[in-house]
Amino acid sequence: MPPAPSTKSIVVWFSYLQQFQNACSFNEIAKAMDPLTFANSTVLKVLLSANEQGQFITAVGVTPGVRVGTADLTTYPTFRVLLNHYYPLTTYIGLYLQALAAAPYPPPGASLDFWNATAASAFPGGSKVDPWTTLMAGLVPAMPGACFTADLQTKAAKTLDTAGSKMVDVITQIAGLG
Amino acid sequence: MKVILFVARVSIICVGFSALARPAKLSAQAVSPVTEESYFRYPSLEPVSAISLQLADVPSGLLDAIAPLSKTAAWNCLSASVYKVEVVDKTGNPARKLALASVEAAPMKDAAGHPFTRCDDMSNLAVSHPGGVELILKSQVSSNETILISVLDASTPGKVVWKSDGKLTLKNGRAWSLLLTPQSAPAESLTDGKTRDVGQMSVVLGQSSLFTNSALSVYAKTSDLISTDSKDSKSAFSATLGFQRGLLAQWYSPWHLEESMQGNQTASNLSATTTLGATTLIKWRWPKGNFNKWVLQVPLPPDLTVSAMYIHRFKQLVTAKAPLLPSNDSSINPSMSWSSISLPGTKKLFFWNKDAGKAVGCSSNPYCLGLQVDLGLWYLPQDLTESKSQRVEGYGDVSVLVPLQMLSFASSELPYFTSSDPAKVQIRIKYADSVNSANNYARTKQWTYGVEVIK
Repeated sequence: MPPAPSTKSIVVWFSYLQQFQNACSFNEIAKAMDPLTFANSTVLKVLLSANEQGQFITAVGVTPGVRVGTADLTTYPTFRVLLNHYYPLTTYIGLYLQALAAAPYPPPGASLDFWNATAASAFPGGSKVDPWTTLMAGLVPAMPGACFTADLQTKAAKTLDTAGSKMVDVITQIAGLG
Repeated sequence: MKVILFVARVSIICVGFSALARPAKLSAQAVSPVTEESYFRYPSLEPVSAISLQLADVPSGLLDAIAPLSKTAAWNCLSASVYKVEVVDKTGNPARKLALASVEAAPMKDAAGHPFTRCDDMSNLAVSHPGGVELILKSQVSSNETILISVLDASTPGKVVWKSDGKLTLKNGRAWSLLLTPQSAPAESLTDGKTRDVGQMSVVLGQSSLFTNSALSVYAKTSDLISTDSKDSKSAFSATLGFQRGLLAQWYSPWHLEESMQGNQTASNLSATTTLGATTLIKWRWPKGNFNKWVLQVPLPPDLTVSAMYIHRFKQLVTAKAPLLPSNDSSINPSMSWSSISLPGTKKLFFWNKDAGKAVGCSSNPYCLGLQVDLGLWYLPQDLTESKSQRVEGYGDVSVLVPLQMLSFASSELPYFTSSDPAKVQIRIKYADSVNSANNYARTKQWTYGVEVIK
């Protein structure tokens, strides 16, 4: 069995989430949140005034360098959704899982075909055997514990094993964090 | 002292559609990879209107379309030659091509701070971190034009590998904004005390940034009301030229300086106003521990705003309703605003509710009273008091915010308003001691009680 694929993009995504949280460090409550709580916080409930929103926009414009507009804070209501607008975690999770899926899905297979594939065709052995166990073992250290809990791993495995479920269900479930 | 009872204040009305929300997988597929993006560069505060293109989007097929290209040497997602932007007509056919000024993206660094490629070999996460790019238009686009974005194969001239749905519209272009509003005004009052029917034209013209790639944002605006009668008391013009910029590069601290000429349409009333203003957040640390947990929680810093104004009146049209004012006037107006203060101890007032005492602090506990505080003063050096000292007028207001969920009867009688979101509906009890700068700094004291529905 080949080793787990690179999780570099997933690790970078969470480092950007951390930088988003650092950009809210003037808010003592946001600063103390665990990564999952922060990711799912409503942006406009953390950044109440125009100056607080401006400070956040200025800070994330420096690191990680994303250009956030004031309207984006409303359009993308949580920090997770906002960061996904610039860097979609679903894509990174999907590409990560696609790399060890059964033929014909791994690259150069199309990602859209993999998303629409049934879980049973992409991972015929289900959640109890390789390559799924290898993939999960590689994913756990790439994501903060609060964002990829044992409970979410169990739920993702259950979705994978559910007859008729598609890979998009598993991907969005994992990228939804929890 | 004036008391107003039960003033209903509805800030934002939000109808709850959460039960109708799409499943996550469907909403992920419904989001378009092409969106309008409007933001300010900092510290220049130059407004930028761009088209955001999410190259890593899977549901639209964009990632799959460019993944093979991204393995080739000809591919560079930051090159304008890779994209074609066109205005399309109602049938979807290209009407004209739009020129791109630049393609921009955030500099990529990995978690360890090492440079990281955005679009080389996009299906291989070991070397790539696919994300979005911004297409900055050189051409002007009106808000009623629809735009089609195509991605081209750079190695085969003219070959299109992906197209958007051609439904994008840009609402925030860099064009001058002009609004003309003709109106009739029956029995309009004139400056000589008479009245007559007049016609009026309201003109609002503005540009939020006169120059591109400037170290500061230079703006101009005019707001006028031109009347068919030169004695119309409502006739007015105001022309403003100003600039703004951030003071500190990494801390949001915009300041602006502007000059404004104001008067009526015959310039029999004419003045010049110079305004210097700045606003920022104050660096803030609130002590942790029992005081924070049980007495007073102030997690957010106050907003600080300072504004200085100098007015020189060239001509004044003195009437019965408009007395003679000093030729030179100036004021300095610092103000502070705290938007989020909580009183954790107040949840003990709701001892009968078992949920009230569960969480420590107020961040996740709706059974806390909230406070909002605004403080400020007007310093008026040209305006002397009876004792011949310079005039200073302080003002402020304090609001006590009571989430409706705190009230036990509301939980059973108004379940929609009190469920899931503790701050959805709140009662505001406000005391304001204010001065009105437009009315010679007249002081008023007022109690207000209201109910607010908040999104």
